[in-house]
Amino acid sequence: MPIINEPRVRATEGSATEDVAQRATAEERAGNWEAAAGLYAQTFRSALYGGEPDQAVDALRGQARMRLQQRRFEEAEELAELCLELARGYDLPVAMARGLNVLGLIRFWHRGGEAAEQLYLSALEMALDLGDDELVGLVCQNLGVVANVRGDFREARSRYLEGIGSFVRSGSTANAMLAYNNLGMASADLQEWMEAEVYFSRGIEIAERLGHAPSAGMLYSNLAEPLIRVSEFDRARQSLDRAEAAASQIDDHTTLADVARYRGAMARLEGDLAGAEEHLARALRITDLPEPGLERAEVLRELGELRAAQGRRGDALEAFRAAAGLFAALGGVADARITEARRAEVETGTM
Amino acid sequence: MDLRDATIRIYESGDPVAALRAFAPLVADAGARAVWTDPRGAAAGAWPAGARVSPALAEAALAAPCPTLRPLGPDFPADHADTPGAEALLLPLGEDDGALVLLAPSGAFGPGEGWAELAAAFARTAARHRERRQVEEERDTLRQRAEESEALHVLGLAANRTLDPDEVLTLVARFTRTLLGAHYVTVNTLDEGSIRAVASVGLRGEVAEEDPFAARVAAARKPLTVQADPATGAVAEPFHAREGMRTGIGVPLALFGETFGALVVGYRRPYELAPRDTRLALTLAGHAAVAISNARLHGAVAERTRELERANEELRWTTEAKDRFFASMSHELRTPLNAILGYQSLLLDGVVGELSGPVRPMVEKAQRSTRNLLHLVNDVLDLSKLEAGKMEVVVAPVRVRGIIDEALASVEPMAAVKDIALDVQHAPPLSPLLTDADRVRQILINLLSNAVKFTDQGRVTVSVATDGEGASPDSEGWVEVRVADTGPGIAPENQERIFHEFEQIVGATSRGGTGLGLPISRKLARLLGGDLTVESTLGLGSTFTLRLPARTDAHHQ
Repeated sequence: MPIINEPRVRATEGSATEDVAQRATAEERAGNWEAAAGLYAQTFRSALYGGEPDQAVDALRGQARMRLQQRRFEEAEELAELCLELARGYDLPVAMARGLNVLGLIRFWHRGGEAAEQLYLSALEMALDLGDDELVGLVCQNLGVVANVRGDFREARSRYLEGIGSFVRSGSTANAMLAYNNLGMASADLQEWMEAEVYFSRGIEIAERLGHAPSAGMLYSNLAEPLIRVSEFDRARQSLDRAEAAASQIDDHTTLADVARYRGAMARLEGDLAGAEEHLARALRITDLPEPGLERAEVLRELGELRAAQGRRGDALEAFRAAAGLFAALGGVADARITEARRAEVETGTM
Repeated sequence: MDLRDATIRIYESGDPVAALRAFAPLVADAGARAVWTDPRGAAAGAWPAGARVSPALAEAALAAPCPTLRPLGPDFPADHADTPGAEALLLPLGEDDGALVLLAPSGAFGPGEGWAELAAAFARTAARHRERRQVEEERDTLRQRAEESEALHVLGLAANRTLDPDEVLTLVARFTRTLLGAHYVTVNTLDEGSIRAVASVGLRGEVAEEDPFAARVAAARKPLTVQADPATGAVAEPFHAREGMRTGIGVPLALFGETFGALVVGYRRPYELAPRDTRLALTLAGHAAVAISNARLHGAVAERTRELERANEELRWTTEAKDRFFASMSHELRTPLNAILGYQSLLLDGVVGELSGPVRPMVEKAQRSTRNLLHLVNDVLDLSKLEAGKMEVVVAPVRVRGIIDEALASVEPMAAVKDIALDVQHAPPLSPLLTDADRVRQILINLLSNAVKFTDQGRVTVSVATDGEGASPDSEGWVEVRVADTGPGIAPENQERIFHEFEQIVGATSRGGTGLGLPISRKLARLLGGDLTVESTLGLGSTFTLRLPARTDAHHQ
């Protein structure tokens, strides 16, 4: 599941729902989706009975967000739609705009980019009307993700940049940090390695200034790719060491898997195929989950590269096939296409 | 009341409001109030929250020269009504920090020299807090500027990645919209007197018409703003009124002193433009201007390249046609010329009878002119072959000395007529060179003919030299044949011109010739892997050097 670009709202200071709303936010930050969902539901009821419809709508949106994290898409969609109805009924334009954005997120993960895009664009228009710069930026990030998944990396880059403009304006430094990460990813997809390095480095600067270890770990890990691609192996190794140190502290499995995969890729490129095998075995262990994510697909793709380098053509084809299938199942259309193309190269011997 | 303790508490407070909270309860009985007014008389803090004093009392506190106790009598009726029986202690804090007013029942303050010290402590706390806030504001501003600079740098990086002007301008328009928190942005360029939008984001309608506001901005060459009429809520610009603009700003697109358009930013809600917005709009307009300028430059370069390609193609065709024409005409001319020469010989040799009277000299003149014409035709044919790369070279072992002798023999009669001495200075015996004998002979005859032709007295000397390595099969050395004369010499500025086709320097035309001999000779020399150069001093003579590669055939050593 990706970073969800949706603003969290604090309950009004001193209101009856404040305490429970704060607990819900804390549980969400800790990744306890079920507990957070329960507390958001409680906040919703309390706010509704207390005559605080804006708080009620925000809590409902929080609950929808939690169901999305749990991949309970239909439930999430119903909650988001109710949230929109209430916002419309109580004439809460800010809640309306945010509701459109969160419904877009749910549709994106449940039904794909096309289903989400129009909702995002409506949310963007409303956010612009309201002068809600932070929401404008978050919606732009979401539109960028849609373009990215579609394989339109230039449009994605443009949207991410647009988002940075909003975050700079609103002073949302933490969001800007994540936007720089997205921008780096889009540049890497465009094979613009120098730019990708600049963007990831910028994100790292912000993460370190904010003392945000999880983001720093992710950014250091992502920075390794452009460095590996330009054969800056020593710097890539340093970046991965820092990523691993940060990710280990908080047990961030996704980043740890990425680190192991990049170490494997680097070992393969340096001709150390045994070392690559070890790193990839570790990455495979970390990503061996009941519901595998995109990081598993990335590891399988790298496994295909390693098998090809080892001359094990059949195993390479099998790994690429598995990676492409997983990318497709998770909505990564562009990655699925790229992986299929690579498999075809290996199959026809043009590797 | 312990003024010393109260003063310490003020010093320990982080800001004036916290100080009020900390010391006010100590210096007065319950029911007392404390109000801090800023230098303009507005309340800046109060204890308890919501406490206030009248403007007259605030003004009196600001005007007090030192801590002053004032009864709340008829001078301050509003305060007296609020707190009957109370008196006010006015504590001036200095021109930057305003004054403090403490209200308490009469007699509560009592005498105390510590009031001035307490007021000073409060003023220092207020000043410290103000400075800290200023530093924080400056830090925030700097951070904001840094973030903006970084974001603009990032935009520049992305924009530099593409030569497609549409993509760059869309990037700039989108980024401008979010960085300025606007609804829509248009990028307009001037084109032959009219202005049109080349990129836009956020517009509701199509951009099919000119935007007079953008045109005015471009003409003014400075930022212009638009505000909606408060009564109608609409702006006076028709295009932007239809877009629902309430506030707008346009900045010129300019680069290297040239203004060629405008960037327009529109807000559909009331918005107060700040200097930051203008500054950022100007910076972003700079990005757009660079993109447009690059695109125009790129377009102009592409168009020029296409023109040059077309011109090159025409030139190539023309050159080929010329070569074909010269080759063809030379062939066609030689046939009748040979016939004319043949018949002239028959006449001069008396085969058809003796030529009488003035007829013989006439026919002799006709024969000389025919030979000159044939010579010219041969030169043109050689030149066209050389330029077309069709001159054939037959390489075989050649004895240079023999070739020189043959060439000298051909110019001896002319030299004898002019009483010019012909000298030869041979080098040590050379192995036969691998080269084309006919072409070397042609060059040497041309050089010797010229030398004799341009020398009126003195001598023409032919010398041969090697670069010392001698000739060998794998030699990279040279053999040089030099033809030196004692003629008039060639001016330095003409020494290269004489190798250009159809160029004869002043004075040369009177000596006859086509002007093709030397250009052909140099081209032939280069075709043989060597070169032909000249050294000359006006009044002393010239030396032409034919340089040939010293390659030999191992079997003929």
